[in-house]
This record gives sequence, C-alpha cells and structure tokens, in this order.
Amino acid sequence: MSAELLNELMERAKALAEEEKLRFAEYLMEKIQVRSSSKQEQPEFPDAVSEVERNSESVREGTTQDWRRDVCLSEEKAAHRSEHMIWLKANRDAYAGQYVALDGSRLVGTGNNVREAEAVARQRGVEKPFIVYLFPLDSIPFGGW
Amino acid sequence: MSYHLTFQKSALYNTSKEGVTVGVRLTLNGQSVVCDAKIDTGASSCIFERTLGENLGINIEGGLQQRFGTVTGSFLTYGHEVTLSVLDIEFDALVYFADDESFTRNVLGQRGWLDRVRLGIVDYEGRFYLSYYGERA
Repeated sequence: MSAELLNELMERAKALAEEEKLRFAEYLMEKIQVRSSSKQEQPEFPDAVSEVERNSESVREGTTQDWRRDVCLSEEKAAHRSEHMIWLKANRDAYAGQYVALDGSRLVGTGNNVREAEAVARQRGVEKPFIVYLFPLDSIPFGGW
Repeated sequence: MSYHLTFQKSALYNTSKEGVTVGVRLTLNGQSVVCDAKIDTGASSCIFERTLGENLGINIEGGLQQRFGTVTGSFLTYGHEVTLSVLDIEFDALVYFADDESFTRNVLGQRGWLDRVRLGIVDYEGRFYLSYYGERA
C-alpha cells in the first residue's frame, strides 16, 4: 500500500463518528487476525519462520487482545456513564444535598461526604463506585473566583 | 504539638500567575484534553470552559443542569462524568462545563476534586503537594 493511500485513509477516518471509528478499527483488526491465522494454517516456508517473526506474531496477537479488552472496558465504562447520568437526572431531587455512590444504574450508598458514601458502597461489595454530590435544585452554589 | 502529612506527588506552580494554577487532564472515551485550572477551595465544584468538553466529544446540554453563582451574578453549566487527572492522580468525577462559550475559566473546587484528595500548598515556595485520599504516600 502506498503511503499516500494510507494517509488518505487516516485523514478520511477523522471525519467518522466515534462509533464508526470503533467499527472501522474493529474491521481492520479482524483483517489482521484473518491474515495472521491463515499464515499459521498454511505457512509458505514453515522452517524459515524466524524467531523474530514468531515473536512479532505473538506481540501482534497480544496487542489485538489488549485492544479488544480495552474496547470492551471502554464500552462498559461508557454504558455505566450513561446509566449514571440517567439516574442522576431522575433522582437529583430525592437525594439533593447528599453524596450518592452509584454502580451503573444502582444506588449503592449515600452519605454526607465521600467517605460515608464510599463506606456504604464497599459494605455492599462495590469497591469503586462513582461518587457525586447532588446540589439542591434551588441552590446556586459558589462557582469560584 | 506538630502535625505531619505525607503526599504522593509534588510540583511547582508559577507564582507569577494569579492563584494556584495547575495542569489538569480530562479524559473521556480514550480522548484527552489538557488545560490549566485554578485550585479554588471556595468553589463548590469543578468547572471548565465549554470547548474542553466539546473537544472530548461531549454534548454539553445533555448533562446535569446546574447554575453557579459568582460575586456579580450567576452562570449556567452542565455536569458530565469524566476522568479528572492532576499530577497523574486520577479518578472519575462529575465536572461542570459552562454553557456560555465566553466563559474561559477552569476551576478545581470542592465537590469532585478537593473532597477526594489531600492537598498541601506552600505558596512561599510555589509548591503544592497532592495525594489521592485513599492512597498512602
């Protein structure tokens, strides 16, 4: 592939939405995997595969796995963020003036400070809850200097 | 009696600038933006300029609406969950992005940042110290 085509593809990819970029990246990674596995099935020169090539294959495989894991974690986190926002909008009145600890769409703790809310969440088995203070609806807290 | 605190991180800040200005990184969906922000113990929350949120791909108006006051009036913001990082001490927090594009101040305030770190400031030296509350130095 020419460098021009590669640059053009990368430039055009910038115009894609985030979700489309992920799909495009996934497509490319699938192609790399197909090529990688077909190489393993029908090596042209099995005896000539050098240590360097074997290492690069395992590095590529590791990178693919890392990338997939990162995408999964990222998608999971994005889903949690959406759930947090929906919960906060629906419940800000009821919990105004308190800290809330959320785990996705679940309320796992409340308190007058981070420590209290976090402690309740941990008692319920959630080690890293998302903790937010909800300002009372009618309040106008100070925004700073 | 004397008291001792230990911290994970320390850095110098520029004393020729107004306030205590530190570097902040906001991250969302693998994208990051960096900016300078003032540490403001009087501010109720963390507030950032709108363009920073937009550069992270956030639909600003889709967040949790909140109005904040100043000594001269008030301004509208929208809260969004991001990963907030100062000196590589990072956690997820709800921070607010100003509705008005002309708002160009970035503030690290109580809810969302000060409430989960330990902070030391020695302005005489232009140095601040920072730890995540739950971590030992």
